Amino acid sequence: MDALPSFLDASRFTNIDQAWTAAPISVIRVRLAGELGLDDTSRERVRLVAEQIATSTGLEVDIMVGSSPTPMPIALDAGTHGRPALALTQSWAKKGVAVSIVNAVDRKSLLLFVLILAVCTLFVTNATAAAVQSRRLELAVLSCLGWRPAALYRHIIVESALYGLVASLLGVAATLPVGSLLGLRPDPRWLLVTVPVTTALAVVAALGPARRAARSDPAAAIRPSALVPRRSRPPRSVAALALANVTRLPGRTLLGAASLAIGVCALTLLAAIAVAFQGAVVGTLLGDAVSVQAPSRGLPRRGAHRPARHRRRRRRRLPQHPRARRRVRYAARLRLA
Amino acid sequence: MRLDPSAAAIVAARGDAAQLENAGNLFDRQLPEFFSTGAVGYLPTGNGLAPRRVDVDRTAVWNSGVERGAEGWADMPEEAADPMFRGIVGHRAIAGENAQRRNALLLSPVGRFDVTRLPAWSELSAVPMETYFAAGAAPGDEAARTALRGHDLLPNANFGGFLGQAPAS
Repeated sequence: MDALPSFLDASRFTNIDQAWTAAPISVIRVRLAGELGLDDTSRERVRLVAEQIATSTGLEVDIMVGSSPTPMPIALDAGTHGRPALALTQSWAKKGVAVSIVNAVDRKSLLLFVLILAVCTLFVTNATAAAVQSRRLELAVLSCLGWRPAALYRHIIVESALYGLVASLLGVAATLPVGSLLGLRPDPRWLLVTVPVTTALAVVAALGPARRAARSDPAAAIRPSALVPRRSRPPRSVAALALANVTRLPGRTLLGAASLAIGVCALTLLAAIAVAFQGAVVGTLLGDAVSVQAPSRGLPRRGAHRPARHRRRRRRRLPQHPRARRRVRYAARLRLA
Repeated sequence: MRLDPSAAAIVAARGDAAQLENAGNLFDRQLPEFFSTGAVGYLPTGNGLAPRRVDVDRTAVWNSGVERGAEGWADMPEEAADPMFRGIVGHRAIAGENAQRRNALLLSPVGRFDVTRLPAWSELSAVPMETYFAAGAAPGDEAARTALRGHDLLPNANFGGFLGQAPAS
């Protein structure tokens, strides 16, 4: 840097642009100290620093956090000494790739969580219904002893809530050691949130079975647990028998079908997202992206992908030699692993 | 938005480092001229970009008046006849009061620039800027791969060529 003024000395060399002399550095790359991720806090911190640099110095600032090398096809003309025209590939920086991918992964994670929650609700509903069904005799006896339907209803609801509470506490207790084994450090606040959520989930799942339990009557004890299909004639094939059994417990059949449908839907969505990224996002696990390499996917509108410098140079009809322009490119270390 | 890896301004000096390091006298260590080159402009093609050619007055650029003793004037590099995609500006040392002693800089080599010794950043935050990456372009199809024998296309002595003369080895 000490030698730079000697190169830019107009009394020493020809064709020295005065503007170039005033601002000889084209790019300054700045990295923020400390740990930076792609969370909102880190991105806001980066944005604030970039704004301060731009305001205090007047320099153009490109925020490069989350950028990713992207292959750019280049068609190079033939040379004059026999080199043929070549189709080449260069790595260009595509900005904001990691942020976009992390956002997409976050959305995918949210979708997964919702689907998992829905499936859990269906399973708990199914299990509660089965439990109520198997305890028909007990409920009928309680009804004979004078329990009102509201009391039976509360009985099932409270029982399910207790199950949910115990299960959530056990889950929270198991999360910490299991998480440490996997290298994860779950936020304790989120862990505590799961306790009331799980309890509420158990209560919601028990609403339907509890309503059926409240309608218990002593005669239920002598009725079969499943509907006896009224057949005009006995089934003569395995398929007919299977169909008849499917309709014996229509509620449970619907629950099973809904669980399967949600699972297939989740798998289809995940496959669609993976195809949309053309395999660039590999090994994502509930928000942890292990690759941010983005393939070149067509070109944006003309000029949009060119460096801002080129556009401005053309607009001002400036010569091609390096102008005295400065640019600060800000880059921060990603923490995607 | 995508950024051209060769966006940084490039200063290319004539002469090679090995010759400079072995220079025995001050005259050989003089910097009689250097060149500054512009960035490459691009035109969109079907699936990528094509560098836009630039008309460069090679005679004006290379007519520097650099003497090479008994050999006469310095020749224009053969590669300079290739298509140019960057503007070139030659900066010739202005003669001092004594024509025998040019007002040129004396170069003192202090080492070779090595991109691998720059502070390593995360690979995921790697920005393909030529300060951090040796200039080059990988073959994009089988024909190019065959023509380049599997290697990358590297810069040559054509300062206005597509690949810039990055300060990288």
